[in-house]
Amino acid sequence: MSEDVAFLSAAEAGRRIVAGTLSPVTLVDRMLDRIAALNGRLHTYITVVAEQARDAAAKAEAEIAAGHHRGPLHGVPFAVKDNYFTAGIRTTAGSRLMLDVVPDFSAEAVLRLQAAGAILLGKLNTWEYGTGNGGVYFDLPFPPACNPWNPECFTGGSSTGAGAAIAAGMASFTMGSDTGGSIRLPAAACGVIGLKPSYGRVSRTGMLPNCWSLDVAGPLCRTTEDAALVLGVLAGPDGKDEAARDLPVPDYRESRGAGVRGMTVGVISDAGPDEIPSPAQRAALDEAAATLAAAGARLVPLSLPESLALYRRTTSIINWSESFSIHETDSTERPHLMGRALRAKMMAGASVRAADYLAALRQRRLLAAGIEALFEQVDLLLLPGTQAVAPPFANESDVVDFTRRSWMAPFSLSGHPALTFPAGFDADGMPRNVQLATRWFDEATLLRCAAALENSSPWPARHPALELETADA
Amino acid sequence: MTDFAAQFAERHGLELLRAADPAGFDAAMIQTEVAGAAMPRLSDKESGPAPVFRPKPRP
Repeated sequence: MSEDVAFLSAAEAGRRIVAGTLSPVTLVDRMLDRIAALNGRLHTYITVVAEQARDAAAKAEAEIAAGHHRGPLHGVPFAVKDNYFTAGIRTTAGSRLMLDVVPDFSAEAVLRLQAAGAILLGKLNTWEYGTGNGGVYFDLPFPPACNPWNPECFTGGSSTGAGAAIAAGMASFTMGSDTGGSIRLPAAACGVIGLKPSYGRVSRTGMLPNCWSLDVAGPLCRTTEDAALVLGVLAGPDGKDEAARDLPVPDYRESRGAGVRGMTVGVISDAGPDEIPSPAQRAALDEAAATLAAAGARLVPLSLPESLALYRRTTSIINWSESFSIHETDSTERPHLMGRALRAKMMAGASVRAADYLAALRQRRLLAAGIEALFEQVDLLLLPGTQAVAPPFANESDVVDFTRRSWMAPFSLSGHPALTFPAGFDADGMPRNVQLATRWFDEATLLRCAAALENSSPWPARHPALELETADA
Repeated sequence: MTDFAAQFAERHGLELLRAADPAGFDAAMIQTEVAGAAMPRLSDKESGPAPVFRPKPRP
């Protein structure tokens, strides 16, 4: 396959840019060409800021030529889910409630990435305010994003465009948000890395909330090096998001190379008779376990302390209630502008009893402690991300199950850092995935283990075979 | 449940929300009630104190 710079990792693109062998202008132009050629089919972007991106690329090139290099992401193009405020650029949250909203400030994550020299390409498709029951929503103002590996297939959500854009060579890295799996699910569906940092690792200032107690901002990337670089830029408090903790930020990129020799990995393959992974997903888990064992990790079989159903139910009560609180005014005044998924969530959230919500918060504390206690036995958990690979849109019940039957709720609820890693393909060429999780604020261990998996399955082994709708340059 | 849901919607200014899908609204209320009832009740000994407000001292 001849090299297409649109599929370079962010880190490699950054290296070539500073070495002078790749111009940020060329890279951004290539991305914009692919966006123009593919977005009509994949519906990955809601808003593209081509002129601004080209201006930023020219500025980056001039800065670097003048010796002012901002860091490894300088000149590297990225995009953000359309729930991140971006100054002067409309932010729709995928909702008719927000179609005319143009913020006058940018989210902290966007500001930090731009200060690091990364170049914003545009705003990515999303479920309405990050809300969905796992279905495909055709009643929103923008068509649903499609999976680049098979455009008849589901992308997962709610960061639908963020997963698809990486896989399709339409950004070097993207930003999503995760409440109940919304970074990890699209990453799993689209065969890329999705990192949900610890709750409180990254500021959410300027990111439209879905559920205050659960929301996490994080990247979708091609490589662990990219995830490490982006997290290094994002991590740390900003004095505005009270949940963002003031804790040391290690060199995530450097610590990836430490390997897994001597690490103890808890493998969770059984979550009960109602949670059986598909044969493809089971094979992915077994292969990942074998890779880590061959790399020197000690594997131990482990179980989750509680049923997936309890983690999911507890998450739901908290999510419904807080989400209704966020959208209460619109629920009473403008529900006709909401899509059916958001409306359904408002209907559920409107009647959550305070006693039930508080019971869920107390249960959350216990469940979170139970997850953290696992790390007294092991350094890291390896388990499926989803029960099956991304299904066709036409298989409605499978589409719903892709979200509802994922294995992600325990870490959504507990706030532990978790990462979905692409783990090969099934017989139909759809990406398989595994999930890693570790102690609070120990993203370095997460990335170290993911890097060990990556050594046997490096990006870019394979790209989606997408026919561009215009002549390829 | 239907009368209760309709009265609930009226009391809380949610008539428009319910009007968009009355059956869905009523079903959602049942779903919420079932989920809430299934949520275990924990004692302080089991889970620690209920969510507390923690004022921060000046650095």
